[in-house]
Amino acid sequence: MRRKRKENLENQRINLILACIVIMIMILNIFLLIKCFSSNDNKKVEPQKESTVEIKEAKEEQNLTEEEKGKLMTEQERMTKYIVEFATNIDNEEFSKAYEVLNEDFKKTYFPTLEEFESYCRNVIGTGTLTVNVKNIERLGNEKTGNLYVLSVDIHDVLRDNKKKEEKTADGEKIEEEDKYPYVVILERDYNDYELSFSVNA
Amino acid sequence: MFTKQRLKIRNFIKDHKKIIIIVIVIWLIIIIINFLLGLRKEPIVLNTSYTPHESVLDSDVVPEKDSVKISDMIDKYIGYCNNGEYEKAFNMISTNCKEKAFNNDVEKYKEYVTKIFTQFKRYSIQDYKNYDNTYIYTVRIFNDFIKTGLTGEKFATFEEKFAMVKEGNEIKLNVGDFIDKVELKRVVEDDYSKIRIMSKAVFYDYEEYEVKITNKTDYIMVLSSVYEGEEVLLDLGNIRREMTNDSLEIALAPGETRTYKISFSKYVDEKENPQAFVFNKIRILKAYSGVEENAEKEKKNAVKLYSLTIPLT
Repeated sequence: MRRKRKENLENQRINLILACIVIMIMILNIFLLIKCFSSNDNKKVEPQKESTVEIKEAKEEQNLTEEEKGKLMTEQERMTKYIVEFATNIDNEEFSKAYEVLNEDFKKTYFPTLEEFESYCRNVIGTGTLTVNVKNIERLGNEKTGNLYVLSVDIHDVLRDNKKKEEKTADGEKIEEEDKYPYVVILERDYNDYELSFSVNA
Repeated sequence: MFTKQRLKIRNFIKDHKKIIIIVIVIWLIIIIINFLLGLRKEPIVLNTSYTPHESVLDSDVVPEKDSVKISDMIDKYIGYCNNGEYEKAFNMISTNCKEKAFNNDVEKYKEYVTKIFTQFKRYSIQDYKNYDNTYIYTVRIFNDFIKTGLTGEKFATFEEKFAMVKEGNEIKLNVGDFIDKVELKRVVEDDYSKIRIMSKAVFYDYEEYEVKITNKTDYIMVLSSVYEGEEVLLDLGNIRREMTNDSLEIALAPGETRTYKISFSKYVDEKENPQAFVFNKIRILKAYSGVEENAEKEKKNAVKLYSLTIPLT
């Protein structure tokens, strides 16, 4: 009899432990449910008809810093951004800003001084009415030494180049593809951490 | 009401106080860890389309433990080539590649490197195809365009296949489009000849077979003349390919044994596997001049004309 009683008592204890665990899990579940409902309520307030996933993504993107957003851009978007920034600086005659992003070796060879670069921009590229059109992007390089991109870029001063083309057409001279779209080479180490060089017209 | 039960619970709590506290503490720790993990943001890496370790042919991905080694290895190798440390670069190459692609000659290897590395070069890699323990990568080698902006130069890159193979416990490089060496050891013998297909060297776009031939007769044995076609073929099942060594004459004097290197055009990614090696026009001749004009006359006086197929599978 005593033994049976003892066994019963033991069983009861085990039941009680199990009951405690179940209660804990229930509390946890209630906590999660409340959290879930409250977040759903928040979403309902927003007058958007997008799917839950899209809303979540949009929310996540809102929380991102500019750098993080930049890192998520496609390579094409980033390269276009860099080249447009470069061209805009030239267009706005902020030559030192454009000069800053040039590769050091490239600068040493072709534009040892800012003045030389400025003079090249004014005489060859043009300022004030520049347009940029990226024709092709080819990716080279590797993760160890940096990602290298070779871009064919149609960058020209709208007014000046129209004149040039007319002259060439009048002479019956065929404009080569390479002449039309000079190369721009970009070495990207990280977002907004890049060097640039371009094919210089003699 | 429920006095008994309440007492039981109280006693239970009293008895198991320590255990209950420990369980609650553990539970709280788990909740805190979960909460912290939920807050933790994955660092955002630069979005690129560069997937160097994903095969372009079958989308196989090289396991990370190997891909890291491979990247380091190629980087080190290119570094040696850029710095002119030819001996060090040569030591990174597999024994088979040294033998088959460079005749175990460092000078020949140096010649090959200096042709490509005319100045400081950059590179990019892309996994091409993986099989067994071999990873084949396409390696593009090019000038340091960032220094010139491609001023006054053409946008051109040099491309070749590198294969990573296991040699003992080490991973070694196969360069110069050399992929692998396969031991074949196929022997066919009849009354006239003994032909041994020893091995084949697999290059990216061709295969080179090492064939040892013995003329057992007292006459001249001709397997390939310069002027006839379809004499030595590689049977790929649904297609037969002629050997690419156009100027290779295989003619053996009575009792002579010679070794030849016979090549066939075949890309490493072709699905068809070589089924047989075919000597299509074996001639045992009383006289052989090697001149096309005399060929018919010599054949008429032949001791034996026959063909021989050596299975490779």
